[in-house]
Amino acid sequence: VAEVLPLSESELRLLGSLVQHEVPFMLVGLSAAALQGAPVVTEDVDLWFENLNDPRLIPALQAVGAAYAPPFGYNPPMLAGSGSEPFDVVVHMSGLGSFADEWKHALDVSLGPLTLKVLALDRILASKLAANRPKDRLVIPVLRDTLITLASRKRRELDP
Amino acid sequence: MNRGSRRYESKLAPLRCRALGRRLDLSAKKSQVPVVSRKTTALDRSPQGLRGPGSTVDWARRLAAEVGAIMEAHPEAEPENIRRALISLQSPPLERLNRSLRRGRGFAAFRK
Repeated sequence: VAEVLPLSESELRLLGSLVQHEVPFMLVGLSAAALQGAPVVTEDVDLWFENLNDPRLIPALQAVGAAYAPPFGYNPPMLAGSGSEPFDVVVHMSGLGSFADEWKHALDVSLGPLTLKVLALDRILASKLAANRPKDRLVIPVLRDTLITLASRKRRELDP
Repeated sequence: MNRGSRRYESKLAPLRCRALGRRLDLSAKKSQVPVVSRKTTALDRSPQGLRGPGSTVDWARRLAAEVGAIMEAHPEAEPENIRRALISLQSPPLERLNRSLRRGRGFAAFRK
């Protein structure tokens, strides 16, 4: 059985380059939920960009050998090249406010050497409830229970 | 009842089975497992770190207590989700993400 690799160094480098070039983006979806402790599985890492025409985006990707592939035919907007494999580009989140509104409440999460903006778990749940696809409905109870767990832990920290 | 010392004598079994049972000696024999390995597998000789404060058993007890406390306040929640979330929260974010992706990609490999 071939080894299934986790987030690789080149993938982390790509994220690092986006941060270094100050491209406004945040992690959303189930990978963001997993970062906050939700016991969920996912195949990809969803990146929500404020503006795909941001002049800092192309240099940030080029610096690590990646590129931006605009939408074409059945292809949504995508990242391509080195370290881009697990990343999906998101331009709209169901049931949420604008990128700027959500950015204000996004969390700073340490991801190894990086600190990334991550959509808060309650907002991920809101987006899953709004999207309401069969695959969203499967994870809604897990996200709810993780929120309960986090709230309970926070209460215990405040009032041990 | 010492089952090892009794031969297979069921009257309900077909004749051929009874004949086979008579040929097989099921009485207790001296164990072939070396003495050293029998000692290490005995329950009263648990590996170090399994018992005592800060041990695996202690960790499992604390986890169960925490799940219990949350379930008491939120009976509508699924205890399995709570338990898995608590375990996940014990590791750093990168490890959580890696675990999630590793498993997700593993499932994807089976789907193909």
